[in-house]
Amino acid sequence: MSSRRSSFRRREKPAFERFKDHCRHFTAFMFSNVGIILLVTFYIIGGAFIFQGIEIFEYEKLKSAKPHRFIARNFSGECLTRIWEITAENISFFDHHAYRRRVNDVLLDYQRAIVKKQLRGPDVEQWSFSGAFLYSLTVITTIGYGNITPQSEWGKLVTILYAIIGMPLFLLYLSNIGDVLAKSFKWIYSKVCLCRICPGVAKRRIIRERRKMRQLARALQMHDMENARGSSSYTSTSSTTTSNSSSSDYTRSSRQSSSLVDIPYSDSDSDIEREIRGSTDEITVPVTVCIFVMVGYILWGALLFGRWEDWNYLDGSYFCLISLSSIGFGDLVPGDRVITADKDKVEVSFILCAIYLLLGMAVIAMCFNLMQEQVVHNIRAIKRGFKACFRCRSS
Amino acid sequence: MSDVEQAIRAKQQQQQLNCGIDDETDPDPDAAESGAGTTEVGARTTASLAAKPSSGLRRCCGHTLKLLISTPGLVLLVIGYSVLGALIFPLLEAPQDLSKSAAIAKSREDCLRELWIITEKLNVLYERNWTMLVHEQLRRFEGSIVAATRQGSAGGAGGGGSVGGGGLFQGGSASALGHFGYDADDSQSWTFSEALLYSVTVITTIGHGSLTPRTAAGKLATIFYALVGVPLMLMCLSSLGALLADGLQCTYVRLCCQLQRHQEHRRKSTPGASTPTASTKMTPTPLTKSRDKKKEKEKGSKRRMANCKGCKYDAANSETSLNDCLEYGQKGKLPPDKREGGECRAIVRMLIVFPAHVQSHANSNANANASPNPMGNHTLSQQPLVKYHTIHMQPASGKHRVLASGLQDAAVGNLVTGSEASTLEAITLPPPPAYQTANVHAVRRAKFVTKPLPHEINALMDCGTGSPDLSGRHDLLPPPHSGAAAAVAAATGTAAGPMLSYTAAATSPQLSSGIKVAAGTGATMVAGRGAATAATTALHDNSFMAAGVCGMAGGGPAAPLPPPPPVTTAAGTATATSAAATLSALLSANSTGTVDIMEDEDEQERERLSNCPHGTPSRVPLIASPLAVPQDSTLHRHPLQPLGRKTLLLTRRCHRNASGTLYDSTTANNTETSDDEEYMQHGSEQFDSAEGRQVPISLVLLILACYICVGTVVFALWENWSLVDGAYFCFVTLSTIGYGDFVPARSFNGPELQLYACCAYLLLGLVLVAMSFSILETQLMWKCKRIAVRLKLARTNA
Repeated sequence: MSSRRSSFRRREKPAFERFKDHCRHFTAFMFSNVGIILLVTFYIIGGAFIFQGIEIFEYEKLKSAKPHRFIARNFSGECLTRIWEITAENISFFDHHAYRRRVNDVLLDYQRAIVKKQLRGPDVEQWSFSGAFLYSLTVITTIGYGNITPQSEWGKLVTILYAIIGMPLFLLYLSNIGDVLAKSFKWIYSKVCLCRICPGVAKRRIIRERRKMRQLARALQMHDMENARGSSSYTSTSSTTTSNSSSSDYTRSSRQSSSLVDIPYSDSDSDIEREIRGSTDEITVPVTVCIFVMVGYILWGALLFGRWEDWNYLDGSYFCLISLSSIGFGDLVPGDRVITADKDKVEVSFILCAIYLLLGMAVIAMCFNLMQEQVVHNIRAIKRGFKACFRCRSS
Repeated sequence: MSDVEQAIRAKQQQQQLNCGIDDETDPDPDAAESGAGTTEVGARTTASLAAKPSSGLRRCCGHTLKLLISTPGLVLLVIGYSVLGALIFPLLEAPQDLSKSAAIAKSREDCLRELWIITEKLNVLYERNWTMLVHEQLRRFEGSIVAATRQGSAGGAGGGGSVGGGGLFQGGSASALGHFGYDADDSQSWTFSEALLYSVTVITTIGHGSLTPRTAAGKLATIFYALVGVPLMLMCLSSLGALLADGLQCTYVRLCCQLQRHQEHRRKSTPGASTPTASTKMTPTPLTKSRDKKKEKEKGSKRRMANCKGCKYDAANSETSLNDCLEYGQKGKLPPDKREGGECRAIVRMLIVFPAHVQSHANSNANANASPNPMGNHTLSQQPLVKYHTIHMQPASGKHRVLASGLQDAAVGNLVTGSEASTLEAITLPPPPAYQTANVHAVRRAKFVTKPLPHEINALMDCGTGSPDLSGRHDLLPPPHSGAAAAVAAATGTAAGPMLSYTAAATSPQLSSGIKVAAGTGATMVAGRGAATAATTALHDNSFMAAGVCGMAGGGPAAPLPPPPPVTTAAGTATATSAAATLSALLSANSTGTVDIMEDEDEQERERLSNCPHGTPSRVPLIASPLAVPQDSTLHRHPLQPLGRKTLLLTRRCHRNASGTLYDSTTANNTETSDDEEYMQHGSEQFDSAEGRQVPISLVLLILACYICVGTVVFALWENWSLVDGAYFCFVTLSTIGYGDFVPARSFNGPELQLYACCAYLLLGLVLVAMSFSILETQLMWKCKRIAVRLKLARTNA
C-alpha cells in the first residue's frame, strides 16, 4: 500500500514538476528575445480586439439607448433658422452693422460646428481592426497619434490600464531588442569596418594602436611617479606617521602603472591574434556611424512611406522622426490615404507601418545605446587628458 | 548626448546671460570652485592657468559646460529652449496661418455680404424663398471652409487625397480643422502661449497634435528642434527627478526619524527601557546639546538643500572655501553627523528591540576573520577594525590612525561626550589631499586599463570561495541587485547581494551599493567605511561597536552572515548591518565627495552629466530616446544568463567583469561619482527598509495619483469635461502618449493663463513621474528579480 502510494507519488510529482517546468520554460522564453517580440505582438493584437470590441459595443449600446445623440444634427438647417429669426427680428429697423454683427456670430458658430463635425469624424468606422491595431500600438509605444481615440468611458479606462501594463512591456522589448541589435551591430562593425575579417589590415592597425598606447602609458607612468613622489613628500611633511603608508602607496601606484605598461608591451603575434579574435565588446562604434544609421533609417522610412502614402520626402522624414521619437503629432498618420480605399491594402500598410515603428524604435534604442557608450568613452578620454595635463602642471 | 553637447555649445552665446546670472546665484558648483581657489588645488589651477592659456580656455569651457549641465543650468536651458521655440515657431508658421485664416474670414465676409444682399433684394420676405437662397449661400460657405482647412492641412502632402469621404478624413485634417475652427477669427493663430505649449509638447514628446506645423520650414525646424530638445529635456527631467527623489527620500527618512524619536522620548519617560546603549544615547550631554544648537543654527542653510546630495555639496563648499579646521568640522562634517545622530538613535532602538543579535555579531565576526582579511581578534574590541583598515587602506592610513587614536580614546574613556569630541577632532583634521588624490588617481587609472580592478575582484573572489555557502547560494539568485549599477558593481555585488537578500530583503542593495563604492573608489571607500565604523564606535560604546563590526562583516566580506538562523536574529543583524552600512555610506560619501571635489570639480560634474540619463531612469520620458536601455540591458542581460551552472557562476561573472569591456569599466567609472548620491539614497532606502520604512511604493503612487487627481479636477472644471475625461487627459499627457483628443488649448477661449498653467502642469508632472520612477525602480526591479529568483529556485530544486 505504502509502496504503491509512494510510487504513485513518484509518478505524480514528476508530472506536476514537469508541468511547472514547462510553465517556467514558457515564461523564460516569453521574456527572451524572441518571446518578447511575440509577447508585444500578441499584446497589441489582443489590445486591438479588446478596443474594437469595447468601442463598437459601447457605441451600439449608446446608440440604442440614446439614438438622438447620433442623428447627425442639421447644422446648416439650424443656422438657417437662426439667421432667419435675426432677419425677421430686424426687419423693422434695418441696421446694417448690427445685423451684420449678429449674423456674423451665427456664422462663426456654424463654422465651428462644421469643424467639430469634421473633427469628430465617424465614431465607429474608424475602429476597424487595423485602426484598433494602430491605436494599441500607439498606446504602448506612447506615440499617441490621436487620429483614433476612444470615445466611451470604458474605452478610456481600459486604455489607462492597457497603457500601464503595456508601456513597461514595451520598454522591456526595447531594451532587449536594442541590446541584441547593439551587439550584432557591433559585431558587424568590427568585422566590416575595422577589417577584422582580413587579418593583415587588422594586425597593422592593432600594432599602430599599441604603439600609441604605449607612448601614452609611458607618459602616464612618468606623471604617476612624479605625482606619487610629490604626494609622499607632502604627506611626510604633514604627518609623520604616514611615511610607510605613503611608500606603499607609491609602490602600489607604480605597480599599477607598470601593469598598465605591461599590457601593451606584450606585442607577440599570438596576442594580436587573440585580440582580433577577441570579443567585440571592447569596440566602441563611433557616434557618427550611429547617427548615420539613424538618419539612414529615417530616410529609408521617408522613402518607404513616400511610396505607400504619397508623401513627399520632407513629410515622410518628418513623420518618421515624429513617430520614432514618440512625439506623434498625428497630423500625418499612416494608412490615412489607404483607409479610404479597399480594405486589403489597409492591412498591409498597417502591418508594414507597425513593423517599421517597432523595428525603428529598437534601432533608435540601439543607436542611443551605442552613442552613449561612445560618448562616455570620449568623456573618459577627455577627462584623462585633463588630468594628465593637470598633474603635469601641478608637479 | 552629442546632440546635447552640440546644442549647448551652439547656445552658449544665447544662454550666456542666464549663465551669468547662474554664476552668481547658483551656489553649489560655483562656491566649490571658488573654494578651490583657496586650497592647493586652486593654487594648481591658477598655476596651470598662468602656465597654459589653452588649458585655461579649456577649463573655462569645461566650467561653462559644467554649469550648464548642473541641474539649475539644465532647468534654465530647458526653459530658455522652450521659450526660444515659442518665439521661433510663430515666425515660421504665422504667415501661412494668417493667410489661411484670412481666407476663411474672407469667405465668411462674402457669405455675409451675400446674405445681406439677399435680404435686401427681396422686397417681400417670404421665408421659403429666403431660406432657399440663404441655404445655398451657407452651403457654399461650408464648402469653402472645408476646402480651406483641407488644403491647409494637406498642403504639404501635395493635394492630399480623399475628397469624397469627408467623414473619413481624419488625422491631419482633424488637427488643422480644430485649429482653424477655433482660431479662424484670430488674425494670428500661433500665439506665444500656443507656441510655447507646442514646443513643450515637442520636447517632452507628448505631441498633442492640436497644433502642428504645416509649412516645410516649420517641419524642418520641428525636426531639428526635437533632435536637440528631446535629449535635453530628458537630461533635465532625469536630474530633476533624481533630485526630487533624493529630497523625498530624505524628507521621509527625517520624518520617520522624528516619529521614532518621539516614540523614543515616550519610551524614555517610561522607566524600563534602560539598556546601557539606550542610556548612553539618551543622556543629553552638554556637547550634544550644543551640537543640537548648532544643528538648529545650520538648519536654515541645510534646508536649502533638503536632499542628500546637497549635504555633499555643503561639505565640499565649506571644505574648499575654508582651510579652517573647525569650520570644516562644523559645517562639512556635521550634516552627516546630524543624520548620523538621528540614525544612531534608530540603531539604538534596534539594539533594544533586537538584543539577541550580538551573538550573531560574534558569528559574523568570526566568519569575517575566516575570510581573507586577516583579523586577529574575534571579540568585539576595536583592534580588528583598526587592523582591517590599515591593511586595506595603506594610502589613507594617516587619517586612519588619527581615527584609530580617536577610537582608542573612546574605548578608554567610554564616554559618549569624550568620544564624540575625539571623533570630531579626528574628522576635523583635514585629510591629506595629496594622498587621496594620488590614490584615486591610481585607482582610476587602473580602471582605464583593460583589466579593471583585479585586486578587488580577487578579494571578492576570495570572499566567495571563502564561504562555500555563499557561492553555492549565490548563483541561485539573479544578478545582484545592482540596479543601474555597472558591471563591476555587479561583480562585487554578487558577493554581497545574495546572502543578504536571503536574510533580509532590503539589505542587499545597500550592501551592493556599498561595495560598489568599494569598487569605484577602492581604498577611499574603505577609508570611509573605517571612518564610519570608527565614528559609530566612538560615538556610542561597545554595543555600537558591535553593530559596526557587524556592518563591516556584512559590508566588506559579505560572506560571513550565517544563512537564515532564527528570524529575529537575522532581522537584527540585517538591521544592524544596514544601519551601520548606512553610516558608512554616509561617511564614505563625504570622503569620496571631498576627494572628488578636491580633485576636479568640473570633470566630476561632467561625469554626472554623462550619468544623468543613465543613473536616474525616468522611465516614461526615456521612452523617446531610450537612454535607459543600458540599464535595462544590464538588468535583463543577467536574468537571461544560463541558470543551471551553479558553482561556476560567481567566478564566471567575476571573470567577465574582470576581463570586461571597456564599456563596463567606463560605466563602472561612470557610476562611481554618482555613487555618493546613489548609495546615499540606497543607504537611506535600505536603512529604512530594514525597519520597514522605506519610501513605500504606495506613497509614491499616492503622490502620483494625487497629482493626477488634482489635474483631473482642475481640468475638468476648466474645460467642463467629465471626471473620466479629465483623468484620461492627465494620464495620457503624463505618460507622454498625448492623443490630442482632449487638449486644453483648443477649448480655451479664455485668458492665456490657462495655457501657461497647462505647460507648468506638464513639466511638473513629468518631473514627478521621473522622480517616482527613480524611486520605484530599484524596489520594483528588486521585486521582479525576487519573483524570477523564486521561479528559478524552484526549478533548480526540481
